[in-house]
Amino acid sequence: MSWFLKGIKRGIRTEKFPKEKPLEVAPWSTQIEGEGNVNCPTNAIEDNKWTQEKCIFCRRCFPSYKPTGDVNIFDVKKRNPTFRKSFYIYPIDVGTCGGCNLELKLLTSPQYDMSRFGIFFTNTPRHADALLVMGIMTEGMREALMRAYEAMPEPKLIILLGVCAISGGLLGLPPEIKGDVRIAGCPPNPYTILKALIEAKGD
Amino acid sequence: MRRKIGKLGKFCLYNDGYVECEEEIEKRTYSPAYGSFDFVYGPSAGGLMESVRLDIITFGEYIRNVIVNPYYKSRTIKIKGKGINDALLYIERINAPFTASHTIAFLMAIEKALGIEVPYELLLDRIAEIELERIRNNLLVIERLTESAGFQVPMNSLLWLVEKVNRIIGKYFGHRYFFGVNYYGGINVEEGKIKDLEIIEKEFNDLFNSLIESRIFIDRLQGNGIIKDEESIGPVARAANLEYDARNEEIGLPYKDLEFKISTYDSADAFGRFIVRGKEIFESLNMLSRINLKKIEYKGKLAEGKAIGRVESPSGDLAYYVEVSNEGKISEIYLLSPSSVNIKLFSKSMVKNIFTDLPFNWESFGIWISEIGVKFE
Amino acid sequence: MIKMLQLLILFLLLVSIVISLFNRKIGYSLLGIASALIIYQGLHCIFFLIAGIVWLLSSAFSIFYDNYGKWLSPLFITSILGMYIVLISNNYLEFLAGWEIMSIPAYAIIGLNKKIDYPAFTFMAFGELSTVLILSAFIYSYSITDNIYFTELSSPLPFIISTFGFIVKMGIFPFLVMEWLPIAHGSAPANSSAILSATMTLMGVYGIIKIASLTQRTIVTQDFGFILLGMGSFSVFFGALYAYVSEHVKGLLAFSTIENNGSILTGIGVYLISQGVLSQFALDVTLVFALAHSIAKTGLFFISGSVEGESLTYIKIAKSLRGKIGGILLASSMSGLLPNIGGVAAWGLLESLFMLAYVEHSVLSIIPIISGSIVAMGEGLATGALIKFISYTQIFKLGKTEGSAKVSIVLLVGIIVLLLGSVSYIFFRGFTAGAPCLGMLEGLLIISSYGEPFGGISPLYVLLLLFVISLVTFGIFGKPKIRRSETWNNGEKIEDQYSSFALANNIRMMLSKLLRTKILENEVVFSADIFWEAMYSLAKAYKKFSRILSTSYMNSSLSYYIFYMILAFIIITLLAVII
Repeated sequence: MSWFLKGIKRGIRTEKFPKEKPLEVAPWSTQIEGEGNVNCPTNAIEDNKWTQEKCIFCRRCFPSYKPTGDVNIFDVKKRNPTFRKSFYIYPIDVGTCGGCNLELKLLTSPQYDMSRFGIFFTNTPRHADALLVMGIMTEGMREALMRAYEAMPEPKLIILLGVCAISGGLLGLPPEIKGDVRIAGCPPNPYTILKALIEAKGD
Repeated sequence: MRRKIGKLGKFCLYNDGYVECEEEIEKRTYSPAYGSFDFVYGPSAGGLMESVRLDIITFGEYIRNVIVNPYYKSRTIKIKGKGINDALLYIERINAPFTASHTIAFLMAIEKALGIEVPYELLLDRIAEIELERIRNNLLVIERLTESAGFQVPMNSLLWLVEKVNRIIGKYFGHRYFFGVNYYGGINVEEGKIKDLEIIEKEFNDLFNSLIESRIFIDRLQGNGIIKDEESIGPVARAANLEYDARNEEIGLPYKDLEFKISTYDSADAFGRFIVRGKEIFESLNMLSRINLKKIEYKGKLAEGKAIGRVESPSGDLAYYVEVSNEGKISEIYLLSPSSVNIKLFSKSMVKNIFTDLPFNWESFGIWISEIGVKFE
Repeated sequence: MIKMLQLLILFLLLVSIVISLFNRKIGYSLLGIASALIIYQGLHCIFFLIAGIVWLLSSAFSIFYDNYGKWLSPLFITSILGMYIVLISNNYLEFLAGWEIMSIPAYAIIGLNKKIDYPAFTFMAFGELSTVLILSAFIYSYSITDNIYFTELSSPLPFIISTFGFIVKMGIFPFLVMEWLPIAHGSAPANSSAILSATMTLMGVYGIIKIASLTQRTIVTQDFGFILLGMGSFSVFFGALYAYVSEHVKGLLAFSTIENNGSILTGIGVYLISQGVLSQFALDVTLVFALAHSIAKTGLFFISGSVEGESLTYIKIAKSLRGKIGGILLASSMSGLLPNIGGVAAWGLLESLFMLAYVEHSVLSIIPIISGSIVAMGEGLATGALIKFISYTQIFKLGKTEGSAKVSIVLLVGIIVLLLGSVSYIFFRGFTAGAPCLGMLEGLLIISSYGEPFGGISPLYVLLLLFVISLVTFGIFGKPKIRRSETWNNGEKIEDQYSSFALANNIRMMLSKLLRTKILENEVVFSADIFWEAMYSLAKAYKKFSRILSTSYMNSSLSYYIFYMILAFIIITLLAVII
């Protein structure tokens, strides 16, 4: 009971995002702008053009290129309004550094509270609406990824989280799976992930 | 007092040096028994943050043995032959939650190998990084413990704190996981004293004291996963009243000037680890309040050398052995990650416990799978 | 007419014993014919009906099952002959003769299949203890009535003593050891297990009811009823508990038999305590319970006969759709689920306990209420036990798929159990009604009543509704869309590993005080029966007491069994002739 009262006493700490602007965003997880030729280790900047899917936010391009603070660095190719009220996600880690895992987990923190949008994690792909893949493809996880995809019911969405899953980033090759939603970042900011998930479920 | 830390490549690392040694293969045998079976948990299952497979050998309920296979997501990192700063990009991505520890241990090895004198303020900046990382990680570990207990209010409060620490890190270092912060020759940092730490101290103090008083919570931890091992490291060792802490030893970081005090406990169980981690948060906050962040640079040089760099990561000693060729390229690298030591201790401590204890014990070790399966090429 | 029929059946049984010595298939077929005649006879007496059905099914099953050498079939039929004599007896001597003819071949069957020494010996020791008790009760009643025929008894003493004798045979708490040990350790063949478990214990029920009907109701019989209530409910609980933790394919079923016998005994307790309408209702419930248990248990033992091996964790099975459907029907009936006959019986038992509490309306009401809750708890564990049994013998385990004649008999038993539920009205004469406002025809509602109606149930309507609702759903939504995909196992391929031992281990750990669970490095030790050790030492004392006797025929040597059997047979025939 005392815990219940403690919870009440703490009050609501959820932010108004996405209606309001995000607060305190770490700059090197947002959109990058600038010009000039730089030595980019992943070729994310070529011919004065920044490709969000390849960027690992290493700051090598600084100060010619600078972060803008815009968190909308994702790409929703397919959205499904069926999931508008309830959107269950099964995350699968096929070879991460742990960063994506942690940022994804922080979506449940009071600041973001993804459940207010009807977004939840599920413990099995059999109940999942979306498969969220993170990390580079590793040999050991190939079979598990395939099985998870097969186990999911239709309709299903595939979400690629982080530059590793989209393009392989710096470390290796991406998983062989076509992404309907691609969330850039290394690791992506929780604001970016949340916004992308809200759009993916058709809101 | 000499203590063994673990296996670093072909060496055995001690707190005062290293010697070449053979891999000792520990064989724990269990014979097949009637009704005993292998309960598979993982590699991909809800409740696991990373991909790992636990084979729980059990009659049902009582655990006879746990075999952990962390090699499902094992990554090959092509680092050899790369320049130091290029190599750092790879080192950063070995384990994001411990990036500061990894990069600083790596840089310290390089600097020692090349005989570079690092400015004192930069060392303080590095301590600030590691301690912030420790606060975040310990908060997360305690959060995972409350999550296993289904304890919603402290769980959410702790997650709020984790995110808060992440934002502080993001604000002062530009990246929430210290990617692109440390480099050979300096540091990217916003200067000044770190603000908002007192909010964390106040909130956590409140939560920590309430959690200690919560009988139903600590009942799950007390007596769970008892391990007192001379070869243990980090909070696991300190919870068993072994004063093992790299911060207390000569590793090249001026912890003594910040009046670092070691935190220990004597129960050697998950509860002890929980207490040690909680106390360390206060200790780290205390040290952080004495640090003024400064942007410092130093001059690198081109030379040949080999050395070991070691820091106390949130889960225990983390060490790199690096050999640099005279072109300034990495020619050999070994990693001793704290999780690789802790994972063995976890299996050992799990025997004779029961199923419901497993998630609590697992989380209490603060293991990150990503840093275990790394192969360097 | 009846006399003629009985003689015909006796003759058929004797002939089939002789023929089975030369050709067992013909022997079993003749037994089947005799059993069919017994069912016909059972249209007037439910005990004949139950026994007849079980024997008919067992004989059919044995034709496909028996490959145990030439001794099993004659012994098997002789035991049945003994039971039949018990049923048709109208005096103490015939009853006792039948009792021994039934018991001794059973010792021999267990002795024949022995892997270790003590099952047959223990079985025999307790079997004879039972006989001694019954015999002394009969001698006492002879001394007070001066009559060898069953006549009214003014003293409750013979009833009480003989009841203990029958209870020993039924394996009731605290005589649990008697029932399971021989079957589990001696591994009697499945067909014999079925008749031991289903009909030999039925004879105990028959004996109790028979003598009870002769005894005048006094305050003593009423108090004795409360004792039976307590013993019965404890047996339900312990029987179900041990069934749940049992790993032996047949041992589990044997424990479940104890659980059911406990329920039957509880019913008898209510029958003794109450008067008038409630007493009649309790008697009907007891008989329906005996029917439900005997038939379903027979079917389940047939399933145990179609697997290879003895431990549930390691058995090899052959799966088939017939076996699955039959097995699920049998297990659900044993778990007390409607519309099976088992559901009707379980409902009736709990109703009569609650009615008893209501009618007593005193401090004593607490006893039936506590018994009722213990019975309900035991039923819960029994459901768990049967789910375990049926999962590991038919549904869950990976195994080759094949059907056989044996499995068809299982399905047949399953269907009988289901249909018996819908015709169970005939066993509740005077307790049926209708509810025209609910569209329920007159006679299709069983009413539990203590003079005033208390509750009601309609198994036929449950069955019909199941069909109707399924059909309506099918009609509205059409054929269900089915997408098959592999089971999700943490991203790994499926491995069949979860052992039946592990399934029940939570209870072993939770009730570690009661089951005396000890965890060693490479095994979990638990006493399958905390009464077992006490009973075993008792049995040893008995052995010491009658050392001469035991050395002569308890060394499990077949010739001695046969010798003893023939001797007993001759004496009894002689006695019968003299009378």
